[in-house]
Amino acid sequence: MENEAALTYNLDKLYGYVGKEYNVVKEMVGIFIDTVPKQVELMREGLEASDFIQVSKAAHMLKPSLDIFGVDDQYYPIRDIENLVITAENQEYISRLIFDLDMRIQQLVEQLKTDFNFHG
Amino acid sequence: MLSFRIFVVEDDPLFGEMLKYHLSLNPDNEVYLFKTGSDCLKNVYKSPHLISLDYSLPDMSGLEVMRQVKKENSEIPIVIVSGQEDVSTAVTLLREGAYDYFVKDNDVKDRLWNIVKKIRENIQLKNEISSLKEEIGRKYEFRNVIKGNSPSIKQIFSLIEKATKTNITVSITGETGTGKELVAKAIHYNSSRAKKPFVAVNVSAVPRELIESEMFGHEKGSFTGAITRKAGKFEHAQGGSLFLDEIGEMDLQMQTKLLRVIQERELSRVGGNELVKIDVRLIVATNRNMAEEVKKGNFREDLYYRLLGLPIELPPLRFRGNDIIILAKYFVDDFCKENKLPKLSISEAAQKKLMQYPFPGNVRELRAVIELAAVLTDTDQIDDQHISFNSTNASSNFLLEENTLEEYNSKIIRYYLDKYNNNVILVAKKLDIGKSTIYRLLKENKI
Repeated sequence: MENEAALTYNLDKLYGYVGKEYNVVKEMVGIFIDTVPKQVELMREGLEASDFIQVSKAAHMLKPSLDIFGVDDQYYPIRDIENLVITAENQEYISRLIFDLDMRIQQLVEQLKTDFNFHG
Repeated sequence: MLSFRIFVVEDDPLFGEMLKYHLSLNPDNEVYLFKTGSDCLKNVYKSPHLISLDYSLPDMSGLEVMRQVKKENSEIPIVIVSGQEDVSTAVTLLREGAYDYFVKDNDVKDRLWNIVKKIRENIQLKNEISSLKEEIGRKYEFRNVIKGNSPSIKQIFSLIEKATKTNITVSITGETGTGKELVAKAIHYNSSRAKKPFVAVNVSAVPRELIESEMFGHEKGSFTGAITRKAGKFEHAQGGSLFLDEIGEMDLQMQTKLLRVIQERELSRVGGNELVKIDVRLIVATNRNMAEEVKKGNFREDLYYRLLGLPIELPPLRFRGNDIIILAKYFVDDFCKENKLPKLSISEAAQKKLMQYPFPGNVRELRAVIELAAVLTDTDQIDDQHISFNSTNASSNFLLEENTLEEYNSKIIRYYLDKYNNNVILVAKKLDIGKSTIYRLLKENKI
């Protein structure tokens, strides 16, 4: 939990919900690691299949989770994805946003796995 | 209260788990997490005390889930949690019966926590009210409150029992102090309406110009002073019983309106157009002879027959024989218990004195006499010197003693002499008799 200072994430809101007991926090981190990359995957698949409803739903699902983990820099990109997808405008731009989001999430997940000892 | 059951319906795994964990911090909370609306609906039979419902679920909208839950159990409070701030959605949901609407932000957990606390308090209050009502029901088990063994009172028990089995209107007649309101309460609290309100109105105590508003309610602005809408006694008694005491005092205009409400089972508030359906059991009481009032034109005949229903005529205390002593002993015990006094007995002489008195004020008067006697005695017994009667109804005392005409005349003259300080001239003038008559009776020791 000491690496929180490396701007990738901030667990203050999570602590507000579940307290600071390590095992409980680790359990919630585990859920995040399991579910968030899958939502990004759904977004990519939806874009490839031009299923913009799927993209929008996945983006909508991501927002609260990223908010709880203090990933504030992705708030506007995800909101853009939600809004842009509704009109199917500028798919190239959406594609770039999703790509950037994917990279960010991968970095975040790796950081969390290290910090909370999820490796092996 | 035992465990407080909460359903969290949330398809976001992280948010759902966090809410479940947070709410479970209170060991009295039993939290169930469902990821879909259909899973929630399958489990509604468990009667949760609260549902926290995500607005967007994978299988159906939160609104649809709420509607279906409400169909099965409209009492369950449902809080909608949404990822979006949308005022029109919030308004729609609240109109459809949502308890509250939150956006998924930092404050959700605290707001849910507060709502849980509020609902638990409400449930506790409802449980307390329910058990108090049961206690009142036990208190008004009529053989507990209407004391007596006389044949006349046993007949009353039988009528009360019949009255409790149906919703028939009951009309209770009897002299003042015979226990008309007590009988009305006994009927209500032993009937199927016991858990619903019992509302009593003393018709003679309400000013004539306000009786309609008092009974039927009024709309805001319907008259000077009507600054808000107000429900009337009929609405307050909805589902329960409305006791109209001294119904004989109601004026003819109001009687017409009352008749219409009874016939149509609906009313409109003063100044309003909306018709309000009424489901109320009527119990009325009077110490007047209503048949006579109808003959005199003071009471509508059609309303009289509408209100007659099951007539219960309460016997005056003087016709209840040994019930006087049964009641006297009950009142002594009750008074001593209430005032934390040692038990008192009633001497034979005191009992005899009580039995000889006609009690124009009936049971109410007996209670007052006994309580005063309990205060006056310095021993553990009430004796005849502690029993004093202070009836204002002197004339009916006279008549009940069954004297000769000469004896009555003497008593009347004596009464007036006492009242006017033995002023024979004044008394003669008041009674329109010669003062020589009074002097003669005084000389003959007949007064």
